[in-house]
Amino acid sequence: MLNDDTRTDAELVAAVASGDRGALGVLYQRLAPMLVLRLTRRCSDPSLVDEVVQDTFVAIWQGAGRYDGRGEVAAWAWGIGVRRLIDGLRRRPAATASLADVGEGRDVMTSAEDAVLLGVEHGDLGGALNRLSPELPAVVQATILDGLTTREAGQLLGIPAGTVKTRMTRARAALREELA
Amino acid sequence: MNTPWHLDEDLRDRYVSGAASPALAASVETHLLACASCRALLTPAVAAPRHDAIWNEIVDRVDAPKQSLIERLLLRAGIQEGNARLLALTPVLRLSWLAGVAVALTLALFAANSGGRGLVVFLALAPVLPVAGVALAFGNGVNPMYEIAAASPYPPFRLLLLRASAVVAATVLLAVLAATLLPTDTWRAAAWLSRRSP
Repeated sequence: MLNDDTRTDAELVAAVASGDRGALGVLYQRLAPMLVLRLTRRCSDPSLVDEVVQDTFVAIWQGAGRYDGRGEVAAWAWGIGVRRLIDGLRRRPAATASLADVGEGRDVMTSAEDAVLLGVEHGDLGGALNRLSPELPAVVQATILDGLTTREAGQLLGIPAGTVKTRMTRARAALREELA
Repeated sequence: MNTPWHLDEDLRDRYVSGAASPALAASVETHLLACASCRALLTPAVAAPRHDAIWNEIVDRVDAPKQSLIERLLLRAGIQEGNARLLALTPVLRLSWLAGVAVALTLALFAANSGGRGLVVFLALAPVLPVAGVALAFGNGVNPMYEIAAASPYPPFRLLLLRASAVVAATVLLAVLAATLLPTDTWRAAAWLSRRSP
């Protein structure tokens, strides 16, 4: 199994930079499932997700030399992936229609068990985030957790950058009130 | 990484199915970036055929032959990928139409230097020569790819036109160069150029 490779992710990226195709394969084994699943939560079109994952690993193959060794390789790969997704959505705007409900509308599914778990694991913040009005968590997720700029977040969610800003302001205010 | 909790299969399934709340999903995603063993737990959640199919595409793209200089120039000029490769990968034909161009230009220079009658001859012949060269090179016996081209689902006439326009485009470039060598009567060069443009 490729998973038996003992090199760290960073060592694998260095090997990829020097043209080691096997190392790219091991990285793919390790990172692809996370990328596929995380991108799927932001884009409902599986063929676009597949394409974005391909783009990401081709970009890693071509640009492994640009990895500066700081931070997790997985985070670096995700950074590439989410930007490729934004590029892909711009080329295929039809797919954005389904993005309106990314990261929201799941509150209905929140079970009592979830609430307890969140209370334990995340304190009030998790609960407060879940109680935000439906369009706000997607913006919080894109800007804070995915680390996108206001403009990129707007492209990902299919809304103008100004709307991202106002929603962030509202989300901050709501969270502050919840946590006060 | 020292994180207080890890994914178990139940949490993974809820994350994958989208049943986890936004805050929980965000925690899972943040944790995954830092935890290799939890990332490994995700592997069964992506269907193996899909996982392999994506990888095969990556291998194809990584292994794809590097585009030649001509191909990249054609692509930059906005020509479709398939057509660009078709044009760039026929060096044998390139030789034959380059020869056609050379003959045409020699004739042009000769005609321009030998007065009015010569002009008529070359105005009639010059535009036809390179295209005729392509048509000849396209035939059986000269073209080593004749059988492949004949069997491929690409209209032969369109292929001929595609190659001919490549020839003419290249010829115009060479003709401009040759025009600078013509005698001072520059309008003849212009007439020649406009006559040969398709």
